[in-house]
Amino acid sequence: MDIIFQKVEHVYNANSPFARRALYDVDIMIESGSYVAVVGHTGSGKSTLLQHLNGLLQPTSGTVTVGNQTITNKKRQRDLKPLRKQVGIVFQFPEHQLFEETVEKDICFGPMNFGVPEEKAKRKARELIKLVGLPEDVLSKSPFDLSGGQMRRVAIAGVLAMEPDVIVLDEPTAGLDPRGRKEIMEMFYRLHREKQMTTVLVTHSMEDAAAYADYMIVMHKGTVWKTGTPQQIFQDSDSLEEIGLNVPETVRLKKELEKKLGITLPSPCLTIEETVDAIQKLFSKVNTHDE
Amino acid sequence: MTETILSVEKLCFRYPNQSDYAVQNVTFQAKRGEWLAIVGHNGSGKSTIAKLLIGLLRPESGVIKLFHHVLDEQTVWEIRRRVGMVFQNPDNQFVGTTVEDDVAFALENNGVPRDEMVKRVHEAIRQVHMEEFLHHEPHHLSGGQKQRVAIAGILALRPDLIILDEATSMLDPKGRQEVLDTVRDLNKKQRITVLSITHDLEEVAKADRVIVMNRGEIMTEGTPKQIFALGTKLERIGLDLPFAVKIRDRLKQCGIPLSSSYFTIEELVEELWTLYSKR
Repeated sequence: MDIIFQKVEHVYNANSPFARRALYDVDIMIESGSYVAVVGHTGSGKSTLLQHLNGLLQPTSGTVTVGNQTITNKKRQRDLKPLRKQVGIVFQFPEHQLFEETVEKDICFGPMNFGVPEEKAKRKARELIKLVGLPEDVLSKSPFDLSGGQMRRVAIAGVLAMEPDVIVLDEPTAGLDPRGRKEIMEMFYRLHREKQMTTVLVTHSMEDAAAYADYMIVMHKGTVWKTGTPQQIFQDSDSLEEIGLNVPETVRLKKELEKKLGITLPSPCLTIEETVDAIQKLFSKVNTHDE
Repeated sequence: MTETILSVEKLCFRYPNQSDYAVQNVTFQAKRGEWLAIVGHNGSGKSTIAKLLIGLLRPESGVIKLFHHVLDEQTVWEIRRRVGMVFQNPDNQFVGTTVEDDVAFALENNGVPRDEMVKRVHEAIRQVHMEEFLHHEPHHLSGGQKQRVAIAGILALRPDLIILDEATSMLDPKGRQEVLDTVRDLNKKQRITVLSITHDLEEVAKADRVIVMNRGEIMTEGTPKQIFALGTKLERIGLDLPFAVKIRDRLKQCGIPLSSSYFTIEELVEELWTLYSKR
């Protein structure tokens, strides 16, 4: 299910004195089965963009096409219901959306609303709770007795229970400790690989974008500034900095090292492993040269 | 001798219906003008400490002293006037209908004269680079912008102690840097004490002193350098190491003879350069 944006514009409070254009001239394509990272300075339009992915916001002009459905400003809200099932959004602090008495009921709420029988929804909940890394006995607990990290996992399970084709993650690890952050990111990556789930990650972490995404969309002041592979995007670190963004620490290290040593390291140095490898080779080359 | 403005002694706290302590036997002090970081995994008790410090939660036992007053029902109001707290999610602390009003709220509450108030509000908003948004509704701003407004609200109050509870976790790296620089500036120039509760290594590296929490107890404390030297011990309790330390340790395993005393990329590059030119 490809997602295509054509000339998308979004104005908040249109036709009022408070009108504010949050998005304009957005032309992007998210291919089915890809992992796309959306990055940009705060206020660049990332969150507005993501709310168009399942019709929570409709473009004030232009079109958004998701699979075979087209969303314009004319589309009635009611007709967007199937889209909500196909595109699951994990918002910032999704745990704030928990409301049921038990974890099980909370996870089952979405599917049952879409007509899935209770027994089937419960089976799904048991499967998902393990998938998000929680023990099964959590199902009978109140979500409000869990820790913040556990609550977030339950909320994610609730989104996954809808079996979406596309999952949209808005800063999914904000506020988690480093271990929790890594576990959640690895979990989504596994889902992406195993179920070919199209994944859209909105993030400030250039490290995560470099580590997981095949493709990046860089937003600036309400429109698309650049698109490309992480490799392409991070090549030009100076202009990224001009729009208030950083490069991953691996790229920064490579750049500093090249400047100081007057050498060029082999290109993809996006992960820690690649970087260590490149530096190690550099030193062993010096060795053999001397001998 | 620098004045101790915050002292916590043998603090214990349990949430209702929980048998385990969220905070157990925690003792520490902070001096005027100090930047103290508290780090720990989720659920290690860091945020609970922050809530205890401003009287949002009441300890089961132990004593909290702020500005030489024991925190109790009588002193809590006066103490809160002097402490500014920024939470992780700014949505929970907006009251004004515009950015300007929101930043002014606490000043109005404290009866600051109008002229003074206008001056301080604008100054605070400028410090967080939000002057373009004076008349915007806070709820329509992006996450990072909201956080800057929340911080401006605290800056305008000119508190003696600022508590940042994961306050920069929603900002992008540049925004985080700007906010931290702003707070650092206040910390240095006006000697405002800062207590930052964080997972962010940049924030930890900026601190004068770091307390590491694990399961409700203080595991250790020291300078950022001493703390990062703990290496895998930190990873074992769910925390992370700075990037340069991770690279350094891996390179050492490959037989490149690096020292162990630094934690920034610049220092790493410097040392690699020395080794490279010697060969």
